Amino acid sequence: MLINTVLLFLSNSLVIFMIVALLMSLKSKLSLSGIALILGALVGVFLMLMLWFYIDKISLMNDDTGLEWFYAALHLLVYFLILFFINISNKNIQNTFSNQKKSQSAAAVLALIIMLQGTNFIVYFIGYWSYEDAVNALFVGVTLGAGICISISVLLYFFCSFLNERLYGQSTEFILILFACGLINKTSDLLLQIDFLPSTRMIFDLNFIVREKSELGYFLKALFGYDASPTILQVGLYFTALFTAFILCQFPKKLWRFFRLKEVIS
Amino acid sequence: MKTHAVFIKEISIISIVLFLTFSPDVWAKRTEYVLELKDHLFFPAVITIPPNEKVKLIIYNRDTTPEEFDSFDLNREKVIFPNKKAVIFIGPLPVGEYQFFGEFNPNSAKGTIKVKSPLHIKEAIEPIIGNNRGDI
Repeated sequence: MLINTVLLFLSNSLVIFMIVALLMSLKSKLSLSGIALILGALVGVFLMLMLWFYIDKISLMNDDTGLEWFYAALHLLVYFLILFFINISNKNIQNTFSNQKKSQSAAAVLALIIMLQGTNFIVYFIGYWSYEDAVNALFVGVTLGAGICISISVLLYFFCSFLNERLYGQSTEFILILFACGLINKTSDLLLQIDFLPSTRMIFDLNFIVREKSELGYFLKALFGYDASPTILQVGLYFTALFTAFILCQFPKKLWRFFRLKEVIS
Repeated sequence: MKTHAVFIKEISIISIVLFLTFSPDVWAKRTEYVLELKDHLFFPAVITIPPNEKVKLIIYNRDTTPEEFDSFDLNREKVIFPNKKAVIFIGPLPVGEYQFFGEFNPNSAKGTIKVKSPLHIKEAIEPIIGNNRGDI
């Protein structure tokens, strides 16, 4: 049960820690308000508990497909919120109103991600709480999982800072766009599961390179929605989402910093 | 005047909506298969379905704890709440065996979906029929 708890914590909560790392690496650059982010996190925890309270009722809606519709709609909302956040960040307007909008959209993204990702783990955690021998395993598992997630998010934060400084000035924004497109991939998975999207055969299977349920698979899935065996429709939707994001966010800008990378290498 | 980007966006949205609305696959009636989860075990543990056909899987959770139906092979994941049911669609799949398990109890809750064509069943029966005829 201990290993299972660690794995479940990783698969559900890694996304939260990663989005925190990405937003923190943009915090000083975009003058994001720390208080707004903390408030966003608290609202996210509140929403997560609210969703946990009603989740079984939502799941029974619309012929037992309510939860998929709910998650798909919120994933789409987060995708557009991320694009909105990057779009207003790109406008280079430094005034209180613009900073407020940036901070609010970042906080909203954080709150929704906490709600979406955290609820699944809460279902498991509270569901097995009543087992006497499970309490220790649950607590130790959560502690170990949190430790791993914090380590990965710290590494991601420094990796983003390095890329921003030495390779490309908007690397974090680029990773955020990939993250948003990953949400579209998850949405397509959910809609395939409830037979809303027509299923086609998978076009390739990358499980022999990176297994989707391996540690690296979890990391890549959390970062940009890695799917080892997608269908042609899913790949099409992913690239449509990426293309739309690049247009709406006016990417790429000429902020290459190769000369700095060369300095590091030399 | 509409910009090029807005035009592309509108065309994409209209295409997706039309594709989804008029895709006959989406509105087709599916064959249903029922699974039960009791004492962290799936009943039946093996389900046989036809190849290249999308089917509806209804999973009842008779336990007092939640469970998550998970399958790497099928790329499906869904939480089933205590004493509730969940519905997922799988396929179309080629002939083969596809494992699934309960993510909250992966050691006990396990099962397999076997995809077999009626032709396979015929091939298995044919030698027995041949022996009965006394051909040798």
